[in-house]
Amino acid sequence: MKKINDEEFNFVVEHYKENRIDTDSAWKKFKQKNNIKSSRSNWKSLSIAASVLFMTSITIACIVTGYNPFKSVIRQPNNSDKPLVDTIPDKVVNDSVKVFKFNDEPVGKVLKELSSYYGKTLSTSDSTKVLSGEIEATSCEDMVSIIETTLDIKIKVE
Amino acid sequence: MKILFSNNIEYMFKQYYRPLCLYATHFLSDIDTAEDIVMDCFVKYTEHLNKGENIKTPKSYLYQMVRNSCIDQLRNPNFTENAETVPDYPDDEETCFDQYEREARLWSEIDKLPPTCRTVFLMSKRDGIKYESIAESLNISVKTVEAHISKAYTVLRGKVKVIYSSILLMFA
Repeated sequence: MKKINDEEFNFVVEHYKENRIDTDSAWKKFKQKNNIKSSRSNWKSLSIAASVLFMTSITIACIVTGYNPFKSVIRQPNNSDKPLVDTIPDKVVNDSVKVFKFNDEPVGKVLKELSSYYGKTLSTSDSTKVLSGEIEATSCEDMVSIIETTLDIKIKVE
Repeated sequence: MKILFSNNIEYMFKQYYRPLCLYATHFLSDIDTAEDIVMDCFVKYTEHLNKGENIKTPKSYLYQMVRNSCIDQLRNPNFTENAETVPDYPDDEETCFDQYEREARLWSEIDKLPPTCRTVFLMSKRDGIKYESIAESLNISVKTVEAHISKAYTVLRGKVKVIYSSILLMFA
């Protein structure tokens, strides 16, 4: 280190005041003024670390107790579930009897809905006819025969 | 990226805050105004960095900023301190910066002196009070005052590695 001379020494001593030019407190003040991110990002990484730790402990707890937290989240296929789309029966009388409601809907559209519900491909040569009303059916075949007789059309099931 | 940046500004601040304050004090003769100016300069400096400005020589940049702010301050008619004139910006920056860093180090060494020792030292050297008056006001003996002052010198001399023979002779 280079030597300090008398002039510099005298200057500092003359101007010296206690608790002034305190770098640490000035830095704190500066951080407040500027919202310096260093502390914030520390918090961020801290919270990430905390959540990782939290998740890990939950996982371990689940493994130990044999509890699957996602079981309740995953939807069991349930017929009484509220319809998400139109392809689900409007009313379920019991496990086997379902009620579909239609209001002036073309047969083509009706069959499309039923196809996706029963997982079969229903098609007809004459899809211009319009269907209205409630149809109560126990199975796909039941449904098909009802529509066939009502509208006097032929429906192909694949 | 943000972390790197803030570390950088933290480093700059901790490294140069004190030297810059002393630099400003040379012009303004007032510590408080100097501190305010240096703080403002750091705030502006951060804004410049945030705007994506590429500052190649941050140290010189900060010294220049402080210097310009000091000149502005001296032009302010409300500023009544007994101010010295601002010399031209030095050609040999590093030598000049070294001086303020030495002064900053000396300042922090005075900070670290034991409280009584510091009080006695400052009363004598800064305020020019006689040994007898210091001894009387602090209710200690003149011998103790002498001991404190020589201790202060030993510590400061040891830290800044310079022999203050001339200053010591003045008290002898």
